[in-house]
Amino acid sequence: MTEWWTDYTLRNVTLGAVMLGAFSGILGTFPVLRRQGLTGDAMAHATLPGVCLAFLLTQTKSYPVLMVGAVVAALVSLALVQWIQSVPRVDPGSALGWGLSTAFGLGVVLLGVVQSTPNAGQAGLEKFLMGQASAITSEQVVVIGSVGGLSVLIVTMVVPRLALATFDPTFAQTQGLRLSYWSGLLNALMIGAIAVGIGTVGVILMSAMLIAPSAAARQWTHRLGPLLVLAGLFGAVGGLFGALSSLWVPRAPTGPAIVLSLSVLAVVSILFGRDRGLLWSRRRGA
Amino acid sequence: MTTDQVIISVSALAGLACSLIGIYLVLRRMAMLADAIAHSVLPGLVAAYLLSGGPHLLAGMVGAVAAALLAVGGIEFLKRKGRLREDAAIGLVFPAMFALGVFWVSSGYQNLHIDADAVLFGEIAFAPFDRWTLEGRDMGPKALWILGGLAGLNAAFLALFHKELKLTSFDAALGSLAGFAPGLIQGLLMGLTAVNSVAAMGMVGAILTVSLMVVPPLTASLWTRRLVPMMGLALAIGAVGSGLGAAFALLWDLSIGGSIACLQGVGLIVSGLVAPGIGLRARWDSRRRQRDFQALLQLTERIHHLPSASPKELAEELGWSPIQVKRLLDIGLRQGVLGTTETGYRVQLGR
Repeated sequence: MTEWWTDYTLRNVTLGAVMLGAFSGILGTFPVLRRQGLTGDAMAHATLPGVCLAFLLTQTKSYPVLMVGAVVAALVSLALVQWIQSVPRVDPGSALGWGLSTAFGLGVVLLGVVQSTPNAGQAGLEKFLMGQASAITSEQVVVIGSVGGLSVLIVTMVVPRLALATFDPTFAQTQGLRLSYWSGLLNALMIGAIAVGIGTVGVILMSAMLIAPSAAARQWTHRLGPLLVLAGLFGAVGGLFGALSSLWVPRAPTGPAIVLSLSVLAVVSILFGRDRGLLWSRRRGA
Repeated sequence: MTTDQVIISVSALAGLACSLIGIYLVLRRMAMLADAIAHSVLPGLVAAYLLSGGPHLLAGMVGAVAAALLAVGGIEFLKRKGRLREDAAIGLVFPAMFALGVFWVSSGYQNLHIDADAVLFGEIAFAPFDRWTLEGRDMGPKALWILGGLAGLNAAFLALFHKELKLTSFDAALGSLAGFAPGLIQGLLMGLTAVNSVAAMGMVGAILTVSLMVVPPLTASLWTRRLVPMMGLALAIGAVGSGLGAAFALLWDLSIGGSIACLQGVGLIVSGLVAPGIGLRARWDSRRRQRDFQALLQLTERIHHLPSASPKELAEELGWSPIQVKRLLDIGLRQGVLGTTETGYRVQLGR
């Protein structure tokens, strides 16, 4: 047990994965409730060109710098997707498909450019695709902890208003809540979670980190408070188990490992969930 | 053919084949479901590879279709029994299946013909070297034959089921009342999407598949509201855009799949700006109509006072260019608020 805290990699991976899972689980609950889970998917894909551009401009692989690039790219893609969604005859799903493929295409092009530059420090940018838990540094743990902790703190302070804006937007407006302000805050928090998470899970599977914990938690409760707590818990467990198993299985990328363990949690929840799980509804004869 | 020519024609053919199937994916608002299918076929491909003991085209297709139907079934199941909304159901299923496939590919079976990079980025650059030999004769690049066959299959599906697809897409209720099986059509469409996904994944990778399928028809739908012109336009955009994207990539030594996706994506932005009736173009048009209306008011007022004035005199009177006056006179005549007399023009009630 002591080796857990003395081994540098093991400690960073454990801390990083647990915090990341918990924060994304909590922050992902609101997009899922607002039926915007796939927007998170598109924005996660869109961070790739941002990361590559940040590297090309600064020639450093400092994690905070790359994160700034990721945030800017996610914001630009969100604005463009919302503009295309506002065009007549374009349905929201097609606009998301356009946004994620175009942004990821640009990312792939830029990644190729990065890989052809002779800078020795460039090795490892492709880890952002599928994630790599074993490369979590203590600097990254600090960033995950501070950005994620701050986001979750903000959420807990304004949960009642977020709930109102999410579940009954019309009533919220009559109460003087400015919806654009609150949805902007939620988008900002989601982008923060994505930017923090892509180093570990990778841009391709980041959306599962946002969606799966709350989808699993949804099977156990219909109350928002417990839902947030459970989503955080499931995210932490799934993140930890996935990250550790990717350390033990040789050559296994971390993102898929984390997503698989989160999926197992989700399947178990759907089968056995107390509030709405399959077995319970069968016993109730529903 | 040189290798560059092969790559460009393979790209164009892939764009053509994928936009054929994408037309109805866009019209039925299934873009993200198509994205989910494109990701979900991966574990099916790996399983088929292991079961058939090597890369086998038919086994791969069967595995892919089975995996796609499993994913779609899972999404439907979650929507009904897991009581999740569609976006959450999609977002739960396809990362799980894609993760399974990637995990499988990269951890256990390192002698697998498919590797993680091929899954993510495609291997269009190798298309010229993978050739089909028939009885010792070189028949050319295999990809051209496969994609050609796929385009034919898609076209046959669209032609055979044109009526059924049209009806169930635009009025599902009427479709089922009229005795068409919407479920069957939907199933066929998804199976075909899976087959196309495999081909597209091989070319540009799993994530950019949705770009080949969805973006050209979406762009086309901004330019026309009629089905058959939209189909033609989608095919042209799919083929020309992909071919051009590949050409640019070869010219500047970029990733081919990424370059195609960028070009197609930029095409949609440009269309959103300049296509008639939407975006910036619509704003320009309406502003211009407003200006013309005001100018026409001024012009009719002048004509009312000077009924025998020639266009040239009117232009001098108003301080406008003769071309502008001529244009507005034409508009007025077309709208019927102006009529001609022997000496000049007169104001009348519009039609």
